[in-house]
Amino acid sequence: MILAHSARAQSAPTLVIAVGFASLTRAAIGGAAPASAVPAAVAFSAILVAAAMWAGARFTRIPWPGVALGIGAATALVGLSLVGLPAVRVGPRTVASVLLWWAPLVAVVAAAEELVPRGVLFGALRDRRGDAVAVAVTAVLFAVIHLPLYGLPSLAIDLCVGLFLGCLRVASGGVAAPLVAHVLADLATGWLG
Amino acid sequence: MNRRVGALFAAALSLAALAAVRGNGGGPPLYDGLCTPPNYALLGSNPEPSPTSSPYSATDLATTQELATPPQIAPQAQIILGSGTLSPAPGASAVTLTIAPVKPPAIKPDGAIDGNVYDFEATSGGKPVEAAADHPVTIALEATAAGGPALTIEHLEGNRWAPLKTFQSGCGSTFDAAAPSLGLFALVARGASTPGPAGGGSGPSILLIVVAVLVVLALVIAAARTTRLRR
Repeated sequence: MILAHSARAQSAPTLVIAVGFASLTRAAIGGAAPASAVPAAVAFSAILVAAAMWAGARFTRIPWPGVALGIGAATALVGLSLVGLPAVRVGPRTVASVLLWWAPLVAVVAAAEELVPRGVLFGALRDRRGDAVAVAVTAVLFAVIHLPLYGLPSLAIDLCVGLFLGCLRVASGGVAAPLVAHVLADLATGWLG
Repeated sequence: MNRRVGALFAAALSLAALAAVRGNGGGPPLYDGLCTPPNYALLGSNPEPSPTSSPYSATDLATTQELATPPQIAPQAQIILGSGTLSPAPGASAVTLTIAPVKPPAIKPDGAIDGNVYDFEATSGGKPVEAAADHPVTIALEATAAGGPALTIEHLEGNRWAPLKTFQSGCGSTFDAAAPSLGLFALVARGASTPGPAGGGSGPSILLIVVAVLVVLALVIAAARTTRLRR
């Protein structure tokens, strides 16, 4: 498990630029449908993982309490995504051939999104400005990088999700909880839609 | 207050805000992952969208059943039947469910139809059968493109199109609604003469917003750091 710790606390502006660069690269490669483009998702993840490594993310043992909190949080997010739907519909991504590439890639993209915003960047901001600023800035960043994928209607949703995952980061003391919550929620809501 | 307890409380508040934004499922979908690009086949195009049909025995219909066309990765039309929604006619052993793309009827909805009009029919013993009362069927229709406007599933009832409470799911291109009966269904951009632009939020204006916010964030963080160093 990667503990995205900020070894370079002074790198926050650079990390914001790196996240922005990753997001704009995804939009540029993806063209009219960036959320559907596999090469765009791969490039996006690679840039974010490189930024996390540059900023000092390192491997450590698995923080099980954080993982457990993340599973609970994912359950809440998935439950919320199903509210109101007339029926739970297992989506088209259960086909084995799709799962082989879709599930790992979705997991990698979600994990990369957590490693920088709520990993190394969060650590850098919190060390200097405290939890509240770190949660607020990373939530805004999280919402903004999803604009090219889903447009303005998703802004409020992603802002709320960003705040939620940031609070998990504070409550658990590490990136494992938001990372697990994000990965599981994306996989489950993808399967169910 | 303990820092972690406070954070959990704030997380719960964020979740409540998220629920409010989602508007009981009526808001944009929550999914944030890799989407399957719609590859929509319009009636009259090449290849043609194909109808699908399947028989269900009384035993089958005692459990939830799904039928979709095409049955591959991204169905354009799908129906979900709860247990007991349909029953074979007296003397018949099965119900045949059919989904078929059809030409739009002469009656126009109050807006532009996105994609095909689909006819959902159930027959048993050569005669049409209807869904049982209080057993709505779930209709799911795919939009022609992701990232277009919010669409409404409408049902042709007599001589008018009736809008159904529609939920957007998946990547935003799948729409679900509970319908009281079978028949003709279509996705409609209400009040529009055309379905509207599609293609996600990757337009130049969105990208400009992204760049502007990121630059402001980076500058604010850098300025705060500089101020702190001067002190």
